[in-house]
Amino acid sequence: MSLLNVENLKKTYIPRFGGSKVEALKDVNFSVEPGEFIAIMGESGSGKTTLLNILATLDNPTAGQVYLNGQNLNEIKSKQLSDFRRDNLGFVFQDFNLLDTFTVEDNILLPLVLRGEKYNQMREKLLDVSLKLGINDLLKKYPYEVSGGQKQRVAVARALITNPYLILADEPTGALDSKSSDELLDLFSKINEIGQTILMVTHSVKAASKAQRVLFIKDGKVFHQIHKGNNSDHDLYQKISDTLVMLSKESENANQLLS
Amino acid sequence: MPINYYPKLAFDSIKKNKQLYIPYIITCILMITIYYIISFLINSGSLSYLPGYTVLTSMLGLGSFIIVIFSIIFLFYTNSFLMKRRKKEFGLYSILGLNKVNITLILFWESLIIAFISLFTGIILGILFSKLFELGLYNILSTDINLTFSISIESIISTIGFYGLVFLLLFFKMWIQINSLRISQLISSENTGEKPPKGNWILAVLGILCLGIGYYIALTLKSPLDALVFFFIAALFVIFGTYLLLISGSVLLCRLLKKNKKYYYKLNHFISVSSMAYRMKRNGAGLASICILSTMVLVILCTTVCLYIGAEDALNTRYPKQINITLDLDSLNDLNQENFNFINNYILDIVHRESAEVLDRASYFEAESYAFRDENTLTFDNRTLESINGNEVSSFVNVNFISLSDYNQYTRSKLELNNNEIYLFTLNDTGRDFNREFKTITLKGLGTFNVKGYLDNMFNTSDEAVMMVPTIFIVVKNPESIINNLNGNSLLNFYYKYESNFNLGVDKDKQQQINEKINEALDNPDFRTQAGITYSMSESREANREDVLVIYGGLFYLGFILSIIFIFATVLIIYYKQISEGFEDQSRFKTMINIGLSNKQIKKTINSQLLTIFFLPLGLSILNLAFAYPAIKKLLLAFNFNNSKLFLITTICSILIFSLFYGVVYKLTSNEYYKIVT
Repeated sequence: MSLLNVENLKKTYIPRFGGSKVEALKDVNFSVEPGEFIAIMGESGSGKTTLLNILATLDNPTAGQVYLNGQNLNEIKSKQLSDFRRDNLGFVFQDFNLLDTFTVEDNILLPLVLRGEKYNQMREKLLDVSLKLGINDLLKKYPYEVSGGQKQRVAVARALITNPYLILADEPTGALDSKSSDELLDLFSKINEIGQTILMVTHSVKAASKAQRVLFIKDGKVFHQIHKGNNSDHDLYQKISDTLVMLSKESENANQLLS
Repeated sequence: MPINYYPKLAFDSIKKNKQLYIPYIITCILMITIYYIISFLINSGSLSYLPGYTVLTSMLGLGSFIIVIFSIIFLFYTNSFLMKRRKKEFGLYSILGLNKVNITLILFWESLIIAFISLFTGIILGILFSKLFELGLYNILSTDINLTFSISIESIISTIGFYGLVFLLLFFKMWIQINSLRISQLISSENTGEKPPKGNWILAVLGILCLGIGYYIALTLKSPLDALVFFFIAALFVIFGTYLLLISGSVLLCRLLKKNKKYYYKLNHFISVSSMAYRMKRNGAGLASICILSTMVLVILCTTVCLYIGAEDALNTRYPKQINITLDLDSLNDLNQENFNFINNYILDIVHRESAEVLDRASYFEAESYAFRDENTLTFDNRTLESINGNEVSSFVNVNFISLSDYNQYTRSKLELNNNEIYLFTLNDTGRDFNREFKTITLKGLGTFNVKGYLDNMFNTSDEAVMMVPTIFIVVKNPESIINNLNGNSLLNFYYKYESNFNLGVDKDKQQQINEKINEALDNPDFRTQAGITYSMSESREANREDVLVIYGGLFYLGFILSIIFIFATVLIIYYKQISEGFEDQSRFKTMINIGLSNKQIKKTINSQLLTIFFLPLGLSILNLAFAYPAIKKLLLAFNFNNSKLFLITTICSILIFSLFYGVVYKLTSNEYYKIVT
């Protein structure tokens, strides 16, 4: 059974002061298998962020269903949503979103504290995850004392510590330099290898080329997808670039037709 | 860039950031209004009619001091918050081609606009409110008190001077800040984290020490006079200690709480303790200001309410009977039985001529002087309270000699004494070290007397009741020989007095009429010569009733107004502190909501955090009040107030009412905070 099923997803925004409706998502269908590392690509305004917000239960779809592990997200009561997010999803944001009032350690422990776990239990999980991500030297530091790449590792640790079904990453390399980006992507591959399902939204061809499958979203629909299969990262990189070029040519043609 | 473009740009950017600037400007205006009103009250003469005017002015002085400290801290803090939010904007300006001089000019105009709006509105409001206050006072005080309806130029100047300086400093601070940063730093500065503060043990210990000293002084005050002098020294220690303790102690407390893993890693504590620890340094000063202002509200509220309710008591203490007569006599020789009867009958005649009765009369002669008391030894001194040194005040006492026969006659007792025995009666001396334990009293240069007993039943003493110094009555068998012997050693100032008070059994108007007749008759030169009178005064309780009640009413009114001002200041501090922090916390809470913090948990967290922020200063201010309690009780003695039970009740009521009010503000603030962060 798939871990995540997205069926006929639609999202329409009605502007507050009248005007025409905006269809951010028209008809999105896809599914994610357990243990997959999937990247979603698309231009600005293609509906990526809307999709991510709906998957994260931060926004409601206008129509269509999302199932995570067989659970229909629409059917979760709004009071239970935050619990649901905390227990099933892990988040990695573009600008890290670490809390500067907490030490690195406390940032990572935050979801567990929200869950109300005992300190000794939390401590074990913390050691486990910080060793895995190589950040155990940073635990006592504050976010302002560590580099961007390290911050993002801490954010990954915070996402991983609840052992979520799915990690949602929103442009995780967006604020990082190329070296830190490479390190982070390697980290993603590594945690994916030990069975963590990851869904990453990105602009970066390089980031997407690390995934097993890349979905392209255009005008609120899944337009195309590429499987990595036995291809190398480099091959996938080439295929993604080709697809993007094709996509942009098509929209140019469409524009020309219109004008 | 054309020169007139800067003001426009400055004005626009204030308008653009109005969400940040409106609370900031409102705070500035209110600070200035409050400062002006307090300064006006200090400078305006209309308060000098109230009893305890000097105490009130010192209180007001302390109040304005706190407002000043708070203004500086709060404005700098809010300003740095504003700047942090706006650096990106300045970065953008510089990318668009403005250099630092241009930006500084914009900042200068901004500061000027804000300073002008705040000062202008603040002072206008201040004048309006102070007028309103004066009108109220004018209504309460009777019309014969001449009020000056003026605007205090002095206060306006000091307000403009002080706040102008603050705004100037703020501008310099911004200037330095802008010039020390590179453009790239400006643009990214909102994202750079802030260093969490470190606690300082030395400051915390120093704070506790200061509090301790303040409390100790307050607890060991001996007399009302002491209280007047040292109460404010104690208050300064407490204020200083509170600031130190809350600024550094609170950081330390948070660190200790963090070390306790079982406590810290609980949802309610986790978020609140960490964000408090993060902000404690600047929070500390705000909390200390809240604490001091709350303490002042409580002190003012309980004393003025108490005095107002107890005004009737005070009247009765000051004027024990309907008619109260004091005569100063020329010499010791006038204190004989013959003269005593002569004066008594003379007054009796006047009253009879007005067809009234003399009832419950208590008359006696007394010989009064001053001495320094060291334990049970009295050393007489020919100086008065006005001419002694400040450090001698605490041992200075008023000594009255009364003859046993006078005492027996008017208390209808049958006490007996030998020549070396005395009876003692002490007044206004609730100090620790005169606990009726002395078996003997030594009059320096004369000898030691055995104390046969302490008297509970004494004449109604009117003028001694209002004396600032403690009074000792010594009942002796033969006052003449003692006084002569004392005078033999050195020339002392003895005051010889005739005291008499009685009721009349006629209505109020008649009482006042008779009182005037008595005063006239006492002025009769023949009578004065024969009785050896140098000064005479007869006072009617009724004639003074209105004055006294009006004065206490005015005092109550002033206390009420001051409480409102200070409560207002307190509320303002708390409210804007929380609101500005709410804006700061917005993004943090958003992240936490994404991670899985539910609305219910947010509420819990906010409650836990605000409870501490609110009730830590309230608790500390109640503690301060508890330690000030005995000292205030002594201060009240100086205002003829000696009703401990009433004082306790009003104090408790003040605390309850204030806490209730505080609780309402807490609720409002936490709702507002919740709205901001979600």
